[in-house]
Amino acid sequence: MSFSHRPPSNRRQVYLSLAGSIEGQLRDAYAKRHAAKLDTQTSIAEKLGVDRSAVNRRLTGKTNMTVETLADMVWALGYCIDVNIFDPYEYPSNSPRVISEHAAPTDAATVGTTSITSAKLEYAPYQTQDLPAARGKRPRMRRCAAGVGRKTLASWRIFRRYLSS
Amino acid sequence: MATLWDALRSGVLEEYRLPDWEVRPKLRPAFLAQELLQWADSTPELMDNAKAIGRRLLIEHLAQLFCDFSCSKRPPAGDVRRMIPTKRGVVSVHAPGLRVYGWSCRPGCLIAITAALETDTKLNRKLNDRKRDHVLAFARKHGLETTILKGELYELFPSAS
Repeated sequence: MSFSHRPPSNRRQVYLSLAGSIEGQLRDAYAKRHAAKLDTQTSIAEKLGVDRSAVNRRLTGKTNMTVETLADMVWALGYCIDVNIFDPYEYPSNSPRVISEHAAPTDAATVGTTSITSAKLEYAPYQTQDLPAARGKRPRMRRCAAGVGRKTLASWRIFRRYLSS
Repeated sequence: MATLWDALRSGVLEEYRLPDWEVRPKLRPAFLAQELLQWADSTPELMDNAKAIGRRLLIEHLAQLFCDFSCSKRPPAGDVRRMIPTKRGVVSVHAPGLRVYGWSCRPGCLIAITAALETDTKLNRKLNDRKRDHVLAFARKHGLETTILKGELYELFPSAS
């Protein structure tokens, strides 16, 4: 049973999910550092040059942190941060997630003003059906030696195929 | 004397169901009394935009409290507290603008009975005590006293300490 108030809109759900996830990760990171006697809220506040209560407010979800504040907190904790924005149709998954009501299959994706519809359709069945469903997990993007993501390389190959057709 | 499962069967308590926007898997259960749900329904401040904290409504903070409790590796930092006298085993969980009262029936498991607005607890110093007594009265009424786990915080919520 959850609270029977009017459920939040889809737009709001995306925000709540993101905020909850970020705060949970920050708290876990802080707890780890605190347990290892590496950090306290006071020491983090000193590193950032803010009041201890500001750090407490950030850790307990009382503020709506800006990107800069979030980066500051991650920096003070000595952690890294990785933001992943992806198309849910490109990376289907069996695990629960909040999908925007504006999400749609990318069968008419464009690069700039050039349509790559046919190339995308040709590539889509492999990407959207076979791999992720079999794995049941969104494949993680790995970095290759040249510092270019696989997704970028795949998009480049599609684009090149389109140009040569 | 009743067990927790008797209370669940009779509808006195219900297991908290995660909202759609919570994507993390559940690690520990939380049980809610019907009266807590009714309190949430009948408290307009929870939906009041003017009382929102950190751009989130109090009802969203309340839902987030249970989400964090159920899914986070560690419940919110320092926000699970034992109420005085600690020998009675009543705990309060603090969320922005809210206080939730209940007890732990086994390590890492919360039974939430009632709640109050933080502003009310500041205005009325006896409200916390009244809520604590209400939790104990609820346990007595439904024969759940034996499910109240007593001990140090790290024994009640191992990951919170």
